[in-house]
Formats: sequence, C-alpha cells, structure tokens
Amino acid sequence: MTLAQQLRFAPRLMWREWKSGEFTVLLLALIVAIASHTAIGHFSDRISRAMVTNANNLIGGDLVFSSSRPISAEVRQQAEQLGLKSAETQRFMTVASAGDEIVLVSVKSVSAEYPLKGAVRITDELFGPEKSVTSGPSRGNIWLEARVLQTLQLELGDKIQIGDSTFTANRILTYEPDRGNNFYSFNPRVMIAKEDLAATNIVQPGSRVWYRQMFAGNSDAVESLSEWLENHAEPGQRIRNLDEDRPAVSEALSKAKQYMGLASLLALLLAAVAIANSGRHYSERHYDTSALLRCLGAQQNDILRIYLIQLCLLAFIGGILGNLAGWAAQGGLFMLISDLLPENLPSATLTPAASGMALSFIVLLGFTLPSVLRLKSVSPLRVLRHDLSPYPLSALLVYGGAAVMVMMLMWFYTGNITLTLSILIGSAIVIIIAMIGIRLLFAAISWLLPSFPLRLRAGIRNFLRRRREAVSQTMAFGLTIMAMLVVVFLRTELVTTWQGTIPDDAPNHFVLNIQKDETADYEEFIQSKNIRADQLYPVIRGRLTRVNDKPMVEHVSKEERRHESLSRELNLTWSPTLPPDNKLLEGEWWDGEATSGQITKVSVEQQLAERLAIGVGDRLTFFTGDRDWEAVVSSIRSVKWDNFNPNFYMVFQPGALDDLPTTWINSFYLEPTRKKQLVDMLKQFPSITLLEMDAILNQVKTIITQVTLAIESILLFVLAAGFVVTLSAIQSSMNDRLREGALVRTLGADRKLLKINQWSEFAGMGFLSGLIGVAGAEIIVAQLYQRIFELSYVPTWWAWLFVPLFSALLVGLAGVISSRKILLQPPMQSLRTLRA
Amino acid sequence: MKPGKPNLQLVDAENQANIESKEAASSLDHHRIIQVDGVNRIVDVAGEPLQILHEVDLRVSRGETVAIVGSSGSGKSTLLGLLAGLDLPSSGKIELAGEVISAMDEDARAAVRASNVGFVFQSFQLLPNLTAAENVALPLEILGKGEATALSAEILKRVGLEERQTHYPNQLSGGEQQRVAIARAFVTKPAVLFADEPTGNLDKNTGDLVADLLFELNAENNTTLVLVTHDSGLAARCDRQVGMESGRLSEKIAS
Repeated sequence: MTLAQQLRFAPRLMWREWKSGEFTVLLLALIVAIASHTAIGHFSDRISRAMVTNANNLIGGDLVFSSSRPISAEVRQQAEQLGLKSAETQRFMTVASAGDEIVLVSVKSVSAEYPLKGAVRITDELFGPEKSVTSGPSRGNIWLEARVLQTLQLELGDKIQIGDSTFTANRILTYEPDRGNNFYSFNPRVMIAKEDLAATNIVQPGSRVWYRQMFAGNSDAVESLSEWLENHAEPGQRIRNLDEDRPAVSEALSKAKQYMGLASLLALLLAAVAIANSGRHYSERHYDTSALLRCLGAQQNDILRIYLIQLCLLAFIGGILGNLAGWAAQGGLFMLISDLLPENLPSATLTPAASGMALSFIVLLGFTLPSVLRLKSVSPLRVLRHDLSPYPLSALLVYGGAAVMVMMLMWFYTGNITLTLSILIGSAIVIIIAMIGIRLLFAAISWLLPSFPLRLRAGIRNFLRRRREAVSQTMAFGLTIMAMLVVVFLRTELVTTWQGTIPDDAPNHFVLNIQKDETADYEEFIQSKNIRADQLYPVIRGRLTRVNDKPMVEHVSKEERRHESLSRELNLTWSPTLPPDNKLLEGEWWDGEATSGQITKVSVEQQLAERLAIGVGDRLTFFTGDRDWEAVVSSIRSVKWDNFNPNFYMVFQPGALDDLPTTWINSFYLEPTRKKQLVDMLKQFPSITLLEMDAILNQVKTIITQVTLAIESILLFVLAAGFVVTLSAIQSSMNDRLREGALVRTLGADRKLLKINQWSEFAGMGFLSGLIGVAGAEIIVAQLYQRIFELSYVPTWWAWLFVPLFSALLVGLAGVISSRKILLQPPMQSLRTLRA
Repeated sequence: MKPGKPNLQLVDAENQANIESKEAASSLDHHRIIQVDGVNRIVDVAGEPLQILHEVDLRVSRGETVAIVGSSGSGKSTLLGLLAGLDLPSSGKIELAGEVISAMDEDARAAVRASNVGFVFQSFQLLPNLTAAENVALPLEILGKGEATALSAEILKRVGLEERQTHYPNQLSGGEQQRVAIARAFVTKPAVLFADEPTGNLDKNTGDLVADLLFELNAENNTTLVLVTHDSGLAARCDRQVGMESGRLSEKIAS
C-alpha cells in the first residue's frame, strides 16, 4: 500500500471501529487526561495570575520605584517604551489647619492614573459603609482620615487649609491600596490631586518628600524595567516588588504554585497509567485484525503505519475534545466561585490549550507505541493458530521507555528537577518493593489457598491464575491511590498551615502614639470596653549608624546599603520577655533590667542580622534625637512578620532607654459591629493614631481562601482522573472475564458463586493496591515535605488501615459493577460475541 | 502481479528466471500453480524438536481442486499455512504462482498473497467491527483498488446476501458469516483459494449450501482450490484428494 492509500484506509478502518465503540475507553482515558491537564492549566494559570494581581494591589502596582528626590523623566520614558502603565505619588509631612485647630498630617498627592492596581476606599460618613473607587480626589477636594476630622472638629463639606491652598473635605479615606506594611510612622493621611500640589507652595527645594512611581503591565516588561532600574538607581532610591514587600503572601503563592504543579503532574501520571493500560488492551484486541490484514496481503509497515495514523487521529480528536472539556470544566469552576474572585479575572491564555494538544500526542504515542509495535510482529499464521501471540517486548524497553517518558514530561511540566526526581525515585522504590511484595504475597496466598473457605477459593484462584495481569492491575490501582493520597496529604497540610497564619481574632486595629502619661488610662479604657488587646510596646525612633565603631556605609555592601533599616529610622522597643511568636536562635535572653554602668543588651531580628552582617557580641551605635548611644548584641531571634502584631527588628533590655523620647503602641481585635466604640476612643485620646487593618486582613484572608479553593478543586480533578483509571483498568480485562464467566456459568456455576468470586478477587486486589498506595504516598510526601515545602513530616498512621480497606471496598465495588454484564448477559450471547 | 517495491522486482526477476528454466524442463510446469519439493517443518516443543511435516512433495495445476484430508493433528493446517506463505518451512522449497515463496521474507510473501491468494477459514475470521460489505471490501482496499464498494456489493449479491450488507458479523448466522468470508475470498479474483475446514463450524445442511457456493464460485472464476478437511463428503467433491498422516502426504485414489 502506498502512503496515500494508507492515509485513506486507516481513517476508514478507524471510523468503522469507532462506530462499534472500539476506541471509547482509550479515547475516554485520553480526554480525561487532557481535560484535567487543560482545566488545571487554565484554572491555576488564571487564578495564580489573579492572585498575583490581587497581591500586587497591596503595593499598588507590579513594581514600585521610590526615591527621596523627584524621579527623572527618563524612568517614565523607559516605562512608556516598555508599554507599562505608570502612576505617581508624592508624600510629605505638613500642617493642616481649620480655624484655630491644627494637625500634623501626611499629605499624599496622586496622579490621575492612581491607583494602578486595587482601589481606594472611602466613606461618606464616619465609620459608615465603604465604597471602592479607582481614582483619587478631583481638583480642589481633599480626602482625609477620620481622625483629621476629629482633631480639627470638622464635618464633611467644611474647608481645610494646606499650605497656600484651601480644599473641601468631601470624603473620609479608609483604605489606600499601596499602604503596605509600613504604618508605624503614619501621621493621619490626607489625599489631594497631583495638579493641586504646586499651588500649596509647600514642596520647595530641600523639602523632605517621598516620591513614588508605580508600574503595571506585562510581566516581561516589568521584569526588564526592574533590571533597568537596578542599573540606574541611585542611593536613596529603592525598587520594590511583591516578593520583597509581602513575604507572607508571596510565600503562600509560591507554595500554591508548587502544589498545583504537583497536582497536574500527578493527574498526568494517572493519565499515563490509564493510557498505557487501554493502549495495551487496544493492541491486544487487534492481534486478530492485524493477523488477518497480514494474511490478506498487508505488509508489516502497512500495519504499523495504519495504526500510527489511527493513533495520531485519535490524539488529535482526544486533544480537541479534552481541551473543550477542560475549558468547560474551568469555566464551570470559575462560575461556582465567582464571588471570591476579582471582577476582572485575567482571561485564559493559549498556553494550556496548546500544551494540552501537544500532550495528547506525546502521551498517547509515548505510552501506546510499545504495544502498537507488537501489532507489527503478529504472525499471519495466527489466523490458523489462534494461540500465536507476538513475542513480548523486553521489559526494559517498555518500563524503561515509560520511565524516561514520564521523567521528561515531569521535568518539562514542573521545571523542577528536585520535584521530578523525588517523585520518580519514590515511585521506583515503591514499584520495586511492591513487585517483590506482591510476588511474595501471591506465593503466600497460593500456599494458604487450601485453608481458605471453599466459596472464596475460586475467586482467589482466579486472581492467582491471572498473575501477570493481576500484578500490573494491582500496580496501576496502587499508583493511582498513591497519587491521590499524595495530593490529599499535601492539601490538608498546606491548608492547615495557611489558615493557621491568620487566626479569626488576629488584631485588626493598631494604636500608635500613646503618650507615657496616657498608658494607664488607655489600659483602663480597653479593659472597661472588654476589648481583646495585646501588650503595650514602647517605641523609640532611632537610626543604626555604626557596627563596632565602623560607620554603616563601610560595614555593609553596596546593595545592602539601600535596605530600609538604614535608609530610615527604626522603631525600637524594649521588653522584659521574648515577644510572642518570636524564637530565640542564638545567644541568651536577658534576666531583669539593665543596671547603670553596664552596656545595654539588644536582640536583633535574624534576617536583618544576616543582611547587615551583625552577630552576637557586636557593638551597635544608634542615633536618636540629638545623641548617640550604644548597645551590645546579646541574641538573634526570628520574627513571624505576618501575625499582624507589632513586630520589631530590635528589642532592648528594659531600663536603659527610659530617658529617650518614647511613645507606646498597641494592637487589638474589635468586631466590625463594635466600630462605633472607636469614636469614644478617639474622643478620650485625641492625640493617638488609630489604624484600621480590616481591609488588609481581609485581603490576605481572601487570598488564602482562593488558594485553598484552587487546591481543593484541583484535588477533584485528580480524584476524577483516578477513578477513570480504575474503571479503564478493570474494563481492559473484561473480555477475558466475560468469556470465563460465560464458561463457568455454562458449566453450572450459579450467580451467587460468581458474585462471591468477583468480590473476593477485586477486593483482594483493592486491598493490596491500597497498601502499595499508602506506602508510596508516605515515602513521596516525606521527601516533598523535606525538600520542597520545608515542612516537618509526621506519618499518617490512620491511612495504613483506612486506605487499604477503603480501596478494597472501592475497587471491589467498581469491579463488581463493571462486571455485572457477566452475570446479566446470557452465557450463549457472551460466547458468541467474543467468538466473532 | 504488480509488486509495489523495486527490491521486490529484483526477487521477481530472479524467480522469473527460475520459472523460465523450469518451463524449459517440463511443459507441465506451464499449468502448475503450486509446487512443493521436499518440505520439512520442525518446531520446538518444550526444548524438544518435533517434526510436523516429513519430506512433503505436492503439485497442483491451475484450476484444479485439491482436498487435503487427514485426522486432527496430522499436519494439514500446517501445510496449508506453508502453501499460503503464512509461515516458512524448515527446509524444502515451495512455489506459489511462479514465486519461490519459501525463499521470501514475510513482506514479499504478503505481496504475493495480496494479489494471488484468497482465504476461507473454519472460524470465518471476519472483523467484528466491520459490516459484511466492509469485510468484503477489505482485501480490495489492501490492494488499493478504487471500486471496492461496487465490487463488494456485486459479490455479496452473488452469494445471496444482498440484504445483509450493512449487518455486523454478530448479527449474522454462521452460514451467512461463512458466505461473507467466501465473498471476501473471491472478490479479488485470486488465482488460488485456500480453505481451512470451511464447513467445520456449520451444521450439515448449511455446510452443504456453503460448499455448493464455494465450488460454484470456484468454477465461475476458474480458481485453483486447495481445501483442508476431514469431511470425506466435501473432499469427494474435489478433483483430487491427498491424504495426510503423521506429517506424511500420500496421493489418494479418487473413490
């Protein structure tokens, strides 16, 4: 046959077989594989882009460049060339006045594009309902925090003076998307339009102004701008992106991405098992066809090409259908959880669709080719002697080939060689141990067979007789269960860890600037209102100037000089005890207060100590107000920055800093329904600064909910894939079972006996698979915990009992359900159909 | 015949030369379609060699009908497989339609089968997923013939299954299935038809009808028929019978 003839003949032959359902199982396995791949691909792609966008809302852009001098036009031009959107803000401190009242405020002027990401939230009345807007105030208007109104004793609509200009106070500002974590130094915020800034005549050469330029757009462009800025930044200028600014969020995101990568990988592995299974089945069912075609004169290469053409067609169809199903599934998923998602969800990209299509070919050809190659070597003599089967392929070729395929796929898919090798080595160990284990078990069972109840023996003998097939089916179920367990174990662990990061009663309010003489009254107020509050921390502002008498400029490298701990004043505190959530890593905590004449001890946060190359025993010089003072490092400690409590880089021994200017800070949790009590607090303590953290807390919680949801839905896909694998594996031995069942019934066995046989066979297989699955999952999860997720691993003992029993039930049920045809179909019909 | 590959033509040329030299030797060769010389077939059974065929010689002329009779396990089917080029002898020479198939590789033998040989099997060997018409069209498609549909419809009509063209094998009775198989065997107008117990799976009446059809079509097409059977009635309808016993062939006198 010429290639053209083959191209015409193969689809026709396929179409005829298609009509009779020959391809259903294989195609189904392929569709499930591609659908779960593309659905997970689209879903995690879109949701992780949404999460990044949402998280970027917290810094107001994808990239933020801040400077103590006006930012040059060159930077903006560069951004424009790269196609990035940009917005700018200026921040400075000044006095706002109304009538006789004055207050120190932090003014922020914003350009028309502000905010690039997220939204500003405002209210029309004090502690009233918030609404989100995506612009700043219009010209002549000013938005201000509630406490400015309180201090100046104003109502909305009144006039307020800043520099040479008069503004109308028309909204209360409750939330800025780019406020971030740095709220200690805030004086109450007021916001004006950038165009109004010049007229105030406040910003003069030499004034202290913080300039910020925010950028948003395509991630490649952001990346190149970031690089460009790195090379052009001057001292006092800083580039910030998400990773740097919100370690907790970016950590959650990166773990979620790793998890999704893993879940898709396991879905893929399941698919591979299913496809290899149905591929082998398909090929075995075509020995006769192949022999007949050869007998009628087709050549070996004709056979090979005909089946290759069919496989390619099948891969194409499976790729298309799988993509459609995956697309529909992710659409449905997004609809289900639309309440939790940002309104403008990023649209799907072509990448998952294209990779799904490619995967369809790779997986189908890769995992069925060894079986299909055997079709080529079927002897035409098989038409006369049915027992002639093609020579078995070498196990090395089949399993070695599959292992290499899987490894390439995993590597390509996750881009993570550690992950790939962990899973691969784990699986290899499991497979080898399981193979030996199953063989030993089979030997033990056949030795024990005479002592089994008579009614069970036939089923078990069945299982033993199909040893080869039983081993591979047990392995397939075992791997399936293993993959699903890995996903379940990791999900549980990750979700618990994340949800633990922010308890429901995490402090949602911060109080700054409590004066020394107010602390007693303040504590009484908190107690009388029954508010759950943390301890009060004293705060001293100071700048770290020297380490061991060496100026910081000489002590640290050029990059570290830009660290915010050096570029601005630090919040310093003292405490008799180690603050909660802090862990002592090195050195010792002090006992009691510092005595006069002794140098003060200080405990330094670990990451800062690392960056600034500070160790226990180093002498640090600080500058506060008008004088230098010294402390010696007595310990290094870790800090949980994301616990929403006041956290400090430097904690001092009490007693030594009493004479430095000090204010106190506090954090507490207040239910949203009790917000009105804040008005009482502001009335009694007009000079305090009250920060509401609900918005940020909610944002972080939303991110965690999204991540959790993504993970749970991905779990569903993996479970669905696993179930189809189970069914396809059982189905592939169905013909033999049908024929045998029919024979046994013809010979007089009743249905009850057959049913018991089926149950004992499938449940036995399920139990063994469950054991393999648990063992494998434990090995792999232990590896992953240690190497990838950096979590400590505790074996899940309950699984060892529960999973094998559950899997015995499940496989038993699936087996019996799909074998019911054996019981229902008249034996004559089975024999005749299978004969034809 | 028109082999598709150049290397095949080389083999053909060689064989052609062979045949020509033989023709010079014997004028009978002109009509000879099958020639078997000293064929042995030895297989390995559990490490022990087992001789299935002993020094078999056989000559079949064009248009002749030959029955190979013998009891089960006598080696009839093995011989049939060798004659049709489905397998190779351990030693000896087999010529089919002028080609020394015992010296050919599998693909070359397949090419010979495609253009010269038809088969009818005891177990019908229809593809279960193909309709009657599609099963019949199969050998034409392998040959790359365009008019497969028309030809298969025509021959199905000839075997009396005009109404059953779109039926699948499991919707047909055994006799009908065998008629489809006969239609498939004749649709390429082969020079030789091999039949392996063609009525073995059928009851007496159906078997007779199928046999009638087989012989009728054989006569119409002037096909050489080699059939293997242990049914003496069927064997008796052939021009010639050869007996097979323990792998040795003996010419039987027509009774």
